[in-house]
Amino acid sequence: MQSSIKNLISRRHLLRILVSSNLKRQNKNTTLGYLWWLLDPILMTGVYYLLVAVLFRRGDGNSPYLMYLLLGLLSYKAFSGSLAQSVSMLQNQGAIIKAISFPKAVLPISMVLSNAVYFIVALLVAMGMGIYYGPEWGSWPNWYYLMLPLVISFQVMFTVGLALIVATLGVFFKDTANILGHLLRMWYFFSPGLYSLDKIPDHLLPYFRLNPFCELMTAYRDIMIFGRMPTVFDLGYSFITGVVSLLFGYWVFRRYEGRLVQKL
Amino acid sequence: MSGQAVISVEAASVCFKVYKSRRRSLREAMFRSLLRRDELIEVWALREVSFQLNRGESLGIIGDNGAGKSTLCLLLSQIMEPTAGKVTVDGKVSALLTLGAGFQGDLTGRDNIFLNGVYLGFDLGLMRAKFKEIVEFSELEDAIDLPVRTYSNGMRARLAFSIAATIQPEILIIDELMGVGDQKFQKKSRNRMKELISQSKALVVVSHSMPLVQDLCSRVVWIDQGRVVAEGPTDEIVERYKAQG
Repeated sequence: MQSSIKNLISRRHLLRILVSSNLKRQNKNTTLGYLWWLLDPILMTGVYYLLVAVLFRRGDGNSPYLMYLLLGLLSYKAFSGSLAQSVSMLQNQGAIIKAISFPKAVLPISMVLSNAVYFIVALLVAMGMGIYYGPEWGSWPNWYYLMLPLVISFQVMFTVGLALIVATLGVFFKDTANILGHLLRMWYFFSPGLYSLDKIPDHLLPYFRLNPFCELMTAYRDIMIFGRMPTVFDLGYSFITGVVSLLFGYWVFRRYEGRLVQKL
Repeated sequence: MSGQAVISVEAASVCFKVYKSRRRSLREAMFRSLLRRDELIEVWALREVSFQLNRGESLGIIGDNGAGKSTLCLLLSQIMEPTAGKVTVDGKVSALLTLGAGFQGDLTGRDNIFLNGVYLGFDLGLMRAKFKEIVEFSELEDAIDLPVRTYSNGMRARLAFSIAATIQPEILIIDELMGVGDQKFQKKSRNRMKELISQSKALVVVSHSMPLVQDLCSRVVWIDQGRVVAEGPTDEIVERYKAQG
């Protein structure tokens, strides 16, 4: 069964159950279980904070640096986690792909969506910390928070597109997973996760801004730290890259979907 | 006759392109395209296979190991598409071939019932309605809330069969009269399977077991090395198959 829009809609229950199974499975075997939902982002931020702010004495003096780091990390982790899991998803599920007919695109899509759920929960935690620690941490919840679902959905579209491509490549080329790991790490350092954009030399800035994570991270921070409306450019650019990625990824996946079964 | 066809296979061929190294690495792919050294081996699993299955009919597919029966099953259950030719299916195909393929060991039996059910194409409402029945049939009782990885083989098989047996088959594909679990459960599952067969609107039996094919099917397609050797009434074709083998 091909992943036509019609088939995907008729199998939405499958997508829903896959998302909840992914989430349930993720931390099932750890002692702390669901606590990892909070611990993971907190520890990660702690590590980078120690590295950048304490050891290198750098950081962004103008904004609460911890919150700044946290927002960048969380949004990027939702993206990189989705791709890293999608790349081997089809191989791991080879047995069922060969046994039951279903639109295979649900597998990477479900991965992206479960990472998005994880991300949203972590954002709520960040919001809670903002409220608890007050304005030094971030903005109080305000009307601009209503823009968050929009920004998140742009990021999800962008991620789904790439996840579909990566999942396809992973079946045809064994070493996609290896390369992807390095690419994702590099991509993070080319995104304003640890630094702010005014640290980038002016003549390089336009190139940096091609990376939609510039706009996405800036938008999250505008809303949650500075309590202001993200710029029209940031919103527009992340929307367009999201749509382009989604359409292109879907096209690639559909094109090679028929050959997947043979390769698994 | 064609108006009643629920499955029609028209000149379907399946070609597997096999590389000498089973899966290509990026380096090899680049080298090959640069050097134009094609180490591609084409294996035709099926060649121009044609037949029809009509409503109310039961068809047997026989042949030696490696004749292409499994590939044909993949085509009929719409898991794979033919390289050339056409397979048209009118109705919902349920293949009772590999059971429990999608089980997630870390999830409980309960979670796996829903997961497997939606994989098979049922909606959640139906699964909720059938849930009790499935658990009862599987005889797993309280173990249903334990992770599936803690199950014995027998328990897994019982759960898998119980989920698959909730189907309301239109077109049913089977490879044997599966009996799983202990003696008692085997009898129960066989009976359930016979029920499914009698409910189905069309049946395909892919099997090595001639008695089973003779028992269930009115017509037989015999394939060898990916081609249809003969097609016709069961007894006649099975006689010829046996004589040749």
